[in-house]
Amino acid sequence: MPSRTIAACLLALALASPERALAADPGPREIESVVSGKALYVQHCTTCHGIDGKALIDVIANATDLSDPTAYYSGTRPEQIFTSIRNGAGVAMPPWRSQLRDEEIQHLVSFILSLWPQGRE
Amino acid sequence: MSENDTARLQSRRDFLRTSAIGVGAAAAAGPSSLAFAADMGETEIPSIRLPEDLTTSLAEDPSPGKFEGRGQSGAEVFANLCKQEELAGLFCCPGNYTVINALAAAGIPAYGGRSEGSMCAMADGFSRATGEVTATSGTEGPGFTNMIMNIAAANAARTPLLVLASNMQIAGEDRERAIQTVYQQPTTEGIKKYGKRLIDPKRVHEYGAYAFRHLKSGVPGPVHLDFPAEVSRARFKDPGELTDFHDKSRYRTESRAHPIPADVARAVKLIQEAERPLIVAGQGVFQRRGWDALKRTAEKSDIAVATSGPSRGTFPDDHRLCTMTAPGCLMSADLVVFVGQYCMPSPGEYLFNPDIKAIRVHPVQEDLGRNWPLDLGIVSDEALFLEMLADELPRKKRGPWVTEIAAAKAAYQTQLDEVYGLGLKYSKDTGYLHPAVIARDTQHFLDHDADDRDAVVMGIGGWTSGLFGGRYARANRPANLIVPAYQYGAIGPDMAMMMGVCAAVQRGVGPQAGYEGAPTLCITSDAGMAYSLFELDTAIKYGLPTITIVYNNNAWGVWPHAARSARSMHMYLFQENLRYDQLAEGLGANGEYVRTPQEFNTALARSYRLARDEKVSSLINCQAIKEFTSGRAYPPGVSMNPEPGCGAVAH
Ligand SMILES: Cc1ncc(C[n+]2csc(CCOP(=O)(O)OP(=O)(O)O)c2C)c(N)n1
Ligand SMILES: [Mg+2]
Repeated sequence: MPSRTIAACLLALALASPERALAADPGPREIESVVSGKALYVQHCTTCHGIDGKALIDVIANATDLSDPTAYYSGTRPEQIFTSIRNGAGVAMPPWRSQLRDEEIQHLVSFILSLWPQGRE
Repeated sequence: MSENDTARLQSRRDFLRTSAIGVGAAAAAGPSSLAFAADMGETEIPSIRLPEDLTTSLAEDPSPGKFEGRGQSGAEVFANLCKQEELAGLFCCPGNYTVINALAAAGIPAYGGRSEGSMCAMADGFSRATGEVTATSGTEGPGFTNMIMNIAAANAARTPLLVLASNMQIAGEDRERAIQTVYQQPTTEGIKKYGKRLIDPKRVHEYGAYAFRHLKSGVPGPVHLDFPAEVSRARFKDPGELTDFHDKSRYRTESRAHPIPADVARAVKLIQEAERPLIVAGQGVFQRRGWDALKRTAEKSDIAVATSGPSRGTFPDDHRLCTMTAPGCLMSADLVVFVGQYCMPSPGEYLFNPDIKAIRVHPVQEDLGRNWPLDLGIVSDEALFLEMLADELPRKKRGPWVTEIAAAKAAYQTQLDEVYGLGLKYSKDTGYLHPAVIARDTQHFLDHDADDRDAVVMGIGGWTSGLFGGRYARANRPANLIVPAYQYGAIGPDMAMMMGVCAAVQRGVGPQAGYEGAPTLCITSDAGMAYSLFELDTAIKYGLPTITIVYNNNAWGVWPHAARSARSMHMYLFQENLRYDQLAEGLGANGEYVRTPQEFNTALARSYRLARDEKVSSLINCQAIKEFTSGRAYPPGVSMNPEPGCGAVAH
């Protein structure tokens, strides 16, 4: 990923931070994981969950509002989110295991956690 | 036509005869009809046929209105203007009688059908296939309001659609005199480019000119005129009785905005500096017939091309620089040049890197900078810009970019092959047809078994059916593929829309020239049947050879919305195993029922032959199950397709 993009993503995260759930002082590895997760998210997830994760485009059935952990159906622990992505969930969410490596799914989990309101992690 | 096909057609007629004894006669005979029908014994039920009056009427010569003698009516003045403007076709239902009769008499190719909404979709389809202005018409009140969904769809697609309707009398305004008056113009607020209730008879020509100025200048869109009787039936014996009775060369201009050379120089500089430039050729490039200039530009400097809009094929999908089947490379593009992208996405909606630089070329200055922040905005006609750019750009090879596009195409194809493999497996496991199989086998048939793969225009609608279909369908010449759901996302108009496309192909209008006689093909859904199926009567009446493939999953494909709402599911479901093929037979078409890939391919081949050789339309009912929509049960399930790319419907 070009460095300008990483900078842009970090900036976007920083700007939108008041309600973000990254650890108070995220380390470089965590930030990098969020950035990688965001790139994957933009590529694979936005058509159902929306650019902001809020799933406000009512197109694909019942996509979860990822920014609101109280709305999750299949668990909010990182390993549960990982499993939902890997194996699919509900009726509409397909399993991604054949298209994404476990490491990539891990990055997606990091990015999804970063969408939560502060203090919910 | 093979012996098999003949036998089948024969048996279809036999079926009609027998089923009509049970159903048709019983219905006609009223409450005590069942016993009566049983008594009928061997009574011959006449077969479906074309009325004699139809053939005679279609063979009539035009007889446009004249000022001499009784003079011409307001409707005739308007019709003659439409003729001068080469209005390409009229699709209507009876109503607005004075106007539709005058248009037909003036020599405009006219089609009458079964519901105004569908006829409006046909007009839209004709225009999407040709870029030409087409008209639709309905009666005041009910006919007009029946069109609304499809006027809105045409508006979202920026179709130059002339919407006509009668509207009672000016003298009855606000009085609810007689029946059917409605305030039409407020009804089309927000779904038209221009509209006017004509209230002054002597200005009928002047407002006709208004209409065509809007239809043929800048970014097109629907124009809606409503005609009170005082206007359509007024009589004129002398041109002096009409205001602004000028020739089209005086009431509008064909002059177009040329880009200023300094802007083109800046565009050239940005393209030269970029490593991975990409042109998004929008609908404007199709409307302005800029496809040759587009190809010349792209090839001169190895610029990748994606297309967008309701008509596909402005740049061939199989071209080495085309990214329509290479979504994996879009993130690498470092410069995008939007040319004629009428319906503008916002960043994030196209699968581009957030850093991408952007140039936008558009004929209307006010739109530049809307939604997408620009590094350079250029006011210009699309074709003229591309011509100039092709001249000014130095030759350049971009080996790594071309290689990356090729790799992304291969990767996407692998993905499609995998999903097709899964579809075959699911079809085998369940005994029902998976949408990936329908989609892939249809395109495969066109590529390998049709006389000329480019001749058949395909259109793809429905939800699950449409999203799968769009991925496998290819467009290799202008308007080779239509996107019925483009931007408005309406379920239902697709089948009728493709009949309008078929009319354009049969007449060889615009980019359809040279393909006269070829069938059109529509993949659609069971939900869509409720909106358009009856127009099979219209297709057959006018000898339009259409093939409709219905993905019948017994449901509105959005049923997963009900999965967590126990008391809701019933609202999303239909009776299972409905026989759309039998309904088609009842309307005089060939009906096919299939459940396996093998049956599907046989039915498709037969339908193609019937369409090509006999001008008979077919409907192939592909029995499926709703669960194929579920990504959990049958991955990958349904999902939107990346944009810009094949299968895109939003922009
Ligand atoms: C006229 C119309 N009504 C409702 C919708 C909302 N909608 C979008 S997709 C869809 C399901 C359509 O079902 P179908 O066309 O049968 O597709 P499939 O079953 O193949 O998914 C619905 C109801 C719409 N877009 N248009
Ligand atoms: Mg359906």
